[in-house]
Formats: sequence, structure tokens, C-alpha cells
Amino acid sequence: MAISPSIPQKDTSIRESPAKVSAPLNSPEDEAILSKNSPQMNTVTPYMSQTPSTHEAVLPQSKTLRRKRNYAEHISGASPMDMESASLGKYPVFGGKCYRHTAQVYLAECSSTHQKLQEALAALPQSEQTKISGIWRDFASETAERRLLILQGLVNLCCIPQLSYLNRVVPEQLRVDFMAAAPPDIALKILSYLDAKSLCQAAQVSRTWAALANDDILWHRMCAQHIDKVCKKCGWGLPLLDRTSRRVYEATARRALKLAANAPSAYLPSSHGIINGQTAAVAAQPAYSFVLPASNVAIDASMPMNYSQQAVPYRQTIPISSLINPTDFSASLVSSVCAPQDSVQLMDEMQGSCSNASGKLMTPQEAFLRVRRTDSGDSSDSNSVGDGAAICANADDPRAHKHITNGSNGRPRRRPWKEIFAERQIIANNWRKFRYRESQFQAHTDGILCVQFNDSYMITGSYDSKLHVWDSETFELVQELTGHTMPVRALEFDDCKLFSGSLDGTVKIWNYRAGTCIRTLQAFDNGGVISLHHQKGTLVVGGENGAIRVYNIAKMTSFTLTGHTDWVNAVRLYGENTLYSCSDDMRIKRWDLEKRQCVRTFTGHTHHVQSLQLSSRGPADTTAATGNQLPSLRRRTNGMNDEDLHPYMITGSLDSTMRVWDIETGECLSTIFGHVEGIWSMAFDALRIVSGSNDGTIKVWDTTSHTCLFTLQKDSVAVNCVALSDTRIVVGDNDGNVRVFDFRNDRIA
Amino acid sequence: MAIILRSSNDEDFEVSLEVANQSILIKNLLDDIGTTSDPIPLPNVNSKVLKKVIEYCEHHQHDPPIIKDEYDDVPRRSDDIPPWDEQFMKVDQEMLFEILLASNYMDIKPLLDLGCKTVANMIRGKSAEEIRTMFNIKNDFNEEELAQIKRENEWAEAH
Amino acid sequence: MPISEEELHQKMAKGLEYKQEGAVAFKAGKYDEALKRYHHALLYLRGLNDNPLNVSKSRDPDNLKESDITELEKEISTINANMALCQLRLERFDRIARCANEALKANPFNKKAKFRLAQGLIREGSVIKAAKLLDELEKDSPNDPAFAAERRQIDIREKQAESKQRKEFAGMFDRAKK
Repeated sequence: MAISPSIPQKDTSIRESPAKVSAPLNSPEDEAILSKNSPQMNTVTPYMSQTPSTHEAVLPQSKTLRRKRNYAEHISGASPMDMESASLGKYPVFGGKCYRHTAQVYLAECSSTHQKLQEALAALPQSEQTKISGIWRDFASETAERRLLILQGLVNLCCIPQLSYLNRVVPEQLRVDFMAAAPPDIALKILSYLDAKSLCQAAQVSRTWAALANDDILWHRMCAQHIDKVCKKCGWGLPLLDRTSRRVYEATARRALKLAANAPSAYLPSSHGIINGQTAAVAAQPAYSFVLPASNVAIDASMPMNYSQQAVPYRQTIPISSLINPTDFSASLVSSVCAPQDSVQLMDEMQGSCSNASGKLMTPQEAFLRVRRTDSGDSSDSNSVGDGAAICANADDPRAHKHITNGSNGRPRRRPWKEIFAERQIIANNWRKFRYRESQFQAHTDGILCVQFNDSYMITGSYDSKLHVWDSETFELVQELTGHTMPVRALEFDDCKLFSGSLDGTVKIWNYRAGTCIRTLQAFDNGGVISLHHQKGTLVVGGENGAIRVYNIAKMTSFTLTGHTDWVNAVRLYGENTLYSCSDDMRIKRWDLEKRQCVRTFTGHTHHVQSLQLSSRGPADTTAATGNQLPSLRRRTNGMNDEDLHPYMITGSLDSTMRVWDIETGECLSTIFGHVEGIWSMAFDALRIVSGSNDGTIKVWDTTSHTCLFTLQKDSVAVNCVALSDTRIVVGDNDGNVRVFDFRNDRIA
Repeated sequence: MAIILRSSNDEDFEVSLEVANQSILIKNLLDDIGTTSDPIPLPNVNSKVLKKVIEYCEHHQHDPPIIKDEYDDVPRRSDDIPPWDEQFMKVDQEMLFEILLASNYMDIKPLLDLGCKTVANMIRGKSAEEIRTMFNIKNDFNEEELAQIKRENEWAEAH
Repeated sequence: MPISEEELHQKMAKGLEYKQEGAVAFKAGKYDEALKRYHHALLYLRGLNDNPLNVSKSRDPDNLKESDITELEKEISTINANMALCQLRLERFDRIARCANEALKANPFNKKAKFRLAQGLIREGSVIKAAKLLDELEKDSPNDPAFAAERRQIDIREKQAESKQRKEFAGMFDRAKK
């Protein structure tokens, strides 16, 4: 009973006789057969125990292989070297050694194949049975090389029908379940080349495949490739849906209002509303104490304010820094839902930008992908306070995770990336098929001139000189803001304040939640305000008489830019020091705010230029905070080269065209035709452009190819203003109606 | 300088240094030890596969090194396989599998990528049933589970 | 192709044998020899799969636990870390980080490998990254004299860089004045 020399005898406890494994042997030849060096034979290992009935003593690490072997034994009812099988005409069956014999399919079919062979064998006379099962048994006991030799001989002897049989049967069997057999790294690598549809099919193949195809990191990649950008491979772009749970945030803020109203908390009557640094001591407050939207907090004593003086109760958690730096009211609101030291992070987040690990400003998409999205499925009643804070913070920062919402058991719940992808894919699909839910309501008694919306609020300004604040989900009127004496032509709001400009020449700053006007600025004496834009403490106002006034809100200083000769219809700040404006004089101008002069004029339109919007991957754009995102876009050059990242600008004009401009060179890159009447308003994001026209048509275009995807027309009432997010289009028309086109699935997004 | 590679079944293959260096495993070894006339044992690659791998390396030995960082947001394409490579990969599934394992073992990234792309191309666009047939996989879900999984993955269908 | 049990153990045994020989050579100061042995060990141990059905482990870095790392991976990691040490002794500074990274790829919890990586980075010039690694390591085992030694290395190199810079810029401003 020679043991093969190639098997190392390291383990001294090895049983010496492999031959004792199987059922009682009848003859020495049998033992000789047994002891042949054949790695395929699971009997000839030094590690096997002596016990014939079970083949228990395989190596402890490979329990699973052992199980499979036993299973094979079990169903065959015989061990491979069961000598009885020769006489009884039984077909030898292997336990698992090679891939084929461990494969699920093989094991599943094993018994039926075995059965068939047994039946066929049984139909033969006894001597034949012995002979044939002897051949099988001999083959089974051979090494790989010998088997090859035997097969070569057999194939040589085969006639065409047998070869034909082999040809048919072999390919069916010569298959490998890659996912099950390959190391997980390789399996995942294979799957990473697949598109979403194929991945989802792969997830339905078998359990093993499902485990791999649903892998979180795989779907994170898919998200990174598709969300908020157009995937180069498949052409799909998915919405960011970076809601930052503003609705939750809003809900908690409103709850705080109620709480504070009921509870006799620290009461700070704001006489003159001035709080200087000393009194605004940072109290050590628990992380989730609330501060009401600071309606009358005058930050800088030197700033003259005229606002109604209301005593508003609140608990103090505003850090001194935000009080001293008054330009962004959002800081004060933001700090209301988290501990002071987190407010800086949140402040950044609210401005729609934050730093990634290398300190560079992240795009919204990067921020989104850095931290696992948390779910706040239904907004208003969830307990996830400060949920919005979770989104952008540095993933390594333990404080960030503090704010991740807690599931019902209190442990943080992180959604799988596949779910997130699926959610967005459904919406993107709706966009593609143009499946939407349309709502309409009468917002004003007269035409609507400007509209803006985010997840919580929608604000409209109208000819009736009023501004209406709506809940953007239920379309309930939250506030009516009166004060202007002439039509409200422009508005802009962020998380805590609203700017509105009117033909009466004033700009009013409102706390739109409370419904109070904080400030009025007389922008022009001799004309109305047509447009405005606010970014990081700078407010730009465009006037009827061609003048543009630029305010520094903190210092309350301003200067005027002249150059346009007619109504300035749109103004947009860009970066630190640049301003773009368009006018009825058919020109678009770029201004340097430091030098305070016009540095470039874009000509090309043949009628009044009504609207303007910029895109870039450059300077942080705080319009994200207002709910209309301006994520990064890729410039389309003539060669459809997506690698260029130059910022560009789109303008809409009453000449019925939109034009795409390269803001560096001043060149008009392309002109978009399609409308038959003038375009009053347009908006765009990474994936689509929306334009509203005088004849009531609303067109949706693809941002990269500039082809018109869809035209909506209900009636011929002029569409004065449009607004766009990644789930909705909102338009206001000249009759005072607001129409909302909602692309979310069952309004759950 | 010829490098000798010894397969698991003790067959020796002679290759040039440039070809051998396509395998980062071997390259690191040679860098550290110096080029040697001793055969380098590759106990986890049999000669059939090693032959195929060497064929690939010999064809690609003059390729410029690709220093491409793999960013998450750049989609991985698998429709860009050059014709020679495509022909090279027209082998049965078993050999394909072995090539994958061998290229992983020997750390030959382009070949590993090629193998993965090839398998991905076999999977792409197929329904679950077709995939099962193609790779001889047993469906180990019960009816309920199957229905549930189908529902969970329905969203991807409307493409 | 999943290989048979004995083959698996044969190869593991051979690999570990080489590893032992490598350790012996290292102790004898024969670093080149040691490297050779370690390389051969890896030739045997790579590509083996001692945990064939561990499909669900997708190496999600957030969820990976130390208990997920298999014996084989730990061995490979140790071998690579030892190789990094050999490179250090042989003063092949550009190769230390490479070996250390391989070690960490196999077993991200291997502290020695992290330390070797720090050592490699210092000698390559990436002192900031190295300092960060040392900080992390020190959290787990504070007051280890090895860390102090490495920090001294950082200081030495920074001073060298500084004096080099001074030499380069010396006279520049004088020229400007003229």
C-alpha cells in the first residue's frame, strides 16, 4: 500500500493506509488500484480517516467541500471505489474535486443522470454490466494525464455518430459559473463592466450571483457615473436629488416655532433688534435645540434697519462668528439645528459646497457620494433632526455621522447605493418618457412675473405687486407678502431670506417664513427694478434705465454700473468678481466688479434678451441653496468633445432663439431654434433646458445636443417665467396660473 | 537575457525579459533578485494556460504602459477590444476562466481586464434565464424569492 | 479551477517553508537571499483560495472586520511586510512602499505593514503622509520607541530639505538687491 511520494508527510498523525477508506476490499488488486496516485480520488489522501462509512476527516478548513463530497456519496449510495459496484453494475460517482464535480448543476442533476445510467445498465446481460461498469470504474480511478490518454485513444476509435454525440454533449457541459468559481475580486471586476439593466438581470440568476450583483461598492460606482452627469457610455444622466432633506429641516424649524411659542424659554426681546457680540454668548446648548429663524436679528449695529419690531422668543445657540459675519443669514438658521461647532460645516453645506479631503471645493455630486445617503422617506414627521447636515460633511468626521438619521431602532440606517440608483433611474425614466403629473393652481389674480422653488417652498411674484409663498408639495399658501407698490419683477430666495425687486424701484428683503419685511432698499430713483441676483453677500440689481446697482449687504455700500441702454432683464453673479447681464438693448455684458467696468459685450441676439444663466465647474455657486441647482456641465464643442470643462452661458431672447456662449472667448457657440414666438424665460441644468415662450409653449431641450425633446402647450397664454429642478418644471403664466410638472414617481423621491 | 518560466506541471518556457516583465509578479521578483537563469516556478499556472498567457504577452510586449488612474466616475467600457485580442479570447469557458485566474496570479492587468471584459460581454444584454443557460447555473431561488427579486429589479427594465 | 485539498495544502506548506527560509536568511543578515525566498513563497501562496465560498466578502472597506481576513491573506501580508523590511535594510527606498502596500492590500489590519509603509514614505520624501500614518499607529500603541525613531528620521530629512533649499536660493535676493 504505497503512498504516493508526492504527498508530503508533514503531519505525523496521518493515517497510513488510505486504502482502508472504502467498503471492504475483496482482493489485493483492488488495493493496488486504490493506492494509485490519482489526485482525483478522494480516497487516496493521507488525511482521510480509517472509518469507511463516512469520509469525515477531510481537512477542517474545507467544510463545504467535505459537505459536497458527502452529498455526492450520499446520492450515489456508493463510494467511488466501492468494489461491489463493479459486480452490481453501479455507476461510480465522484464527490467534488474539480470544478465540474462541485458545480451546483452537476450535483443537482447527478442523481437523475445516475438513475438513467443504472437503468440502461440494468437492461444489459450481467457480463456486459460488469464489463461496462468496469470500464467506467477504471476511468474514474485514473489520473488526469491518463484520462487524457484514454480519451485520445477513444476519440481515435470513435465513429462519426459517436463524435457527433460528443460534439453535442460536450459544449453543454463545458461551462463555468464564473461568479461562483472565481475569487470575489475578479467576479466584481467582471460585473463592473455591466450596465444597470444587465446587472439587475444578473442579480436574478442565482443566490451567488445576486450577492455579487447587489454589491454596494459596485452600485456606488454606478451612482458616481450617472448621478448628476451624463454617463459617457450609455448617455443617461440621473438627477442628484440632493434634497438635503430641506423638508425635514423646514419641518423641524416649524416645530421649533411651535415649541418656542408654547414653552417659556429664554426670551430675548429685541429692542432695536441689535445684539452685539457680548450678549450673544454661546451657551452650551444640547445639539438639537432650536432657534427660530432670526427675523429681527440686526447683526451689525451700524446697519440701519427698518423693520417691525417683534419680540421673538428663542434659545441662544448662535455662535459669535455668525453674528459678526452677518452676510449669510443661513448661518444663524443653520446653527439652530446643530451644536455650534458643527455650524460651520453646515453653513458650507447650505451654500451648496464643501471641501473634500484635499481641501478643494466639492461639487454637489462629490458631496453626495461621499457620505451614505440617509433616508427620510416621508419628511415632516420624521425624527431625523439635522438630517440635512449629514450630507456633505467629511465622511471621516465622527461628528458627521452623529447627524445621520436614526432608524426605528436608533441605529444609523444607511441606504444601499442600488436603491439610490434605482430611485433616480425611475425619475430619469419618467423624464425620458415624459411621464409627469401636472398640477395647476391660481397663484395670483394677475400675471406671474417671477418664480422660484425648492423642496419646501415656492415663491411667486406678480403684477399684483404681491409675493406669495407656497408650500411646494401641497401648494398651500404659506404667506402673502405685501409691501411693494408696483409689479414684482424679480425675486430670489435662499434658506432664510427673500429678495424681491419691483417696478417701484425698491428691493425688499423679507423673512418669508414669518412673512415680514426686514428691509427695503431704494435701488433706483428714476425707474423700476427689473432683475436681481444675490450671492455671498453681494446683491446685484438691474434697472429699467439700463443701470446696474451692486450692493455689499454687510457693509451696505453700493456702486452703479452703467453701460446698458435699456431694461436690464437679468443679472448673474459669477465667481468672486464677475457679473453678467442682459438687456433689452440686445446685448449681454460681462462686468469686472473690482474695476467696475464692462469688460466684454456679447452681441448676436436680434431682439430683447430676456434671460440668462451660467454654468461652470469653477467657483462655488450658491444658487444651489436656492433649490435650482447649477451643477457642473460639460461644454459641447463642435466635435462633441466632452472633455472640455469651460464654463458657458445660455441666453433666451424675444427673437425666439436661445444662444449658447463661451464666456471666455465671447463666441456664440450655437443658436437654438425652435420657438415661433419670443422666449420670455429659460432655465437649465446638467441634463435639460426649459424655455417658456410668448405663445404659451414650453419646450424642453437636451443640454448637450440642444435638440428639442418635448413641447408642452396648453393654451396660448404667455409663459412669463420658468423654473427647473431635477424632478420638476414650474412655470408661471400671464394669467396668474402656476403649472407644475412633476416627474417623480408617486411623489416619492 | 532569457527568462525561464516553469509551469505547475514542470514544463519550461523561455521568454525574453520584456515579455516576462509584463507580469508584475515576475517583474518585481526580477527587480529584487536580478535576472537569473534559474527557472522561475509558477506553481499555480499549468502549461496549457501559461502558453496562452505567454502568447498574449509576446503580442503585447511593445505596448506603451498604461498609467491610467481608475476613477470611480469614469465608466468602464468593454466595447473597445481590439480584433487580435478578441480572436485570442475565442476559447472555451474553461480556458477563459483559467486565463482570468492566471492573469490575476501573475498580475498582468491588461490580460485580466481583457478577460473580465470578455466575460462581461457574454453577460451583457441577456436575461437571467439566458445567463443560466450560458453558464450552466442552477436556479436556487424558490418561486417566491424569484418573484420578489424580479419585482425588486423591475425598475431597470424600462430602459 | 478549485484545486484538490492536498494540492492546496502542498502549496501552502511549500510557501510557508520558503517563508521560514526567508526568515532564517534575514536573521543571518543575508537580505538578498531573504528576498529571494520570500518571492518564492509568494509564488506558491498567491492565487490559492483557502476560503472557497466566501463570496459575500466584497471588501467593503467600511465593513471589513479583522476576522474576515483569512489565514492565507495574513501570511501573504506578513511576507510582504517582511520584504518591505528587507528593502529597508538594503536601502532600496523606492521599493519599501510598494511591498508595504501589497501587504496592506492583503490585510489592511496589519500594523507592521502600516509602519513599514510609513518608513517607506519617509524615505521617499512623502513625510506628511508618513507623519499621518505614524499618528494613527501611535493611537493604538503609544510610546513605542520605533515611532519616535521614525519621527527623528522625518526631522532629519526636513532639515536636509531645508538646507538644500537655502543653498539653492542663497544669493538670489542679493542679486535682486543689486
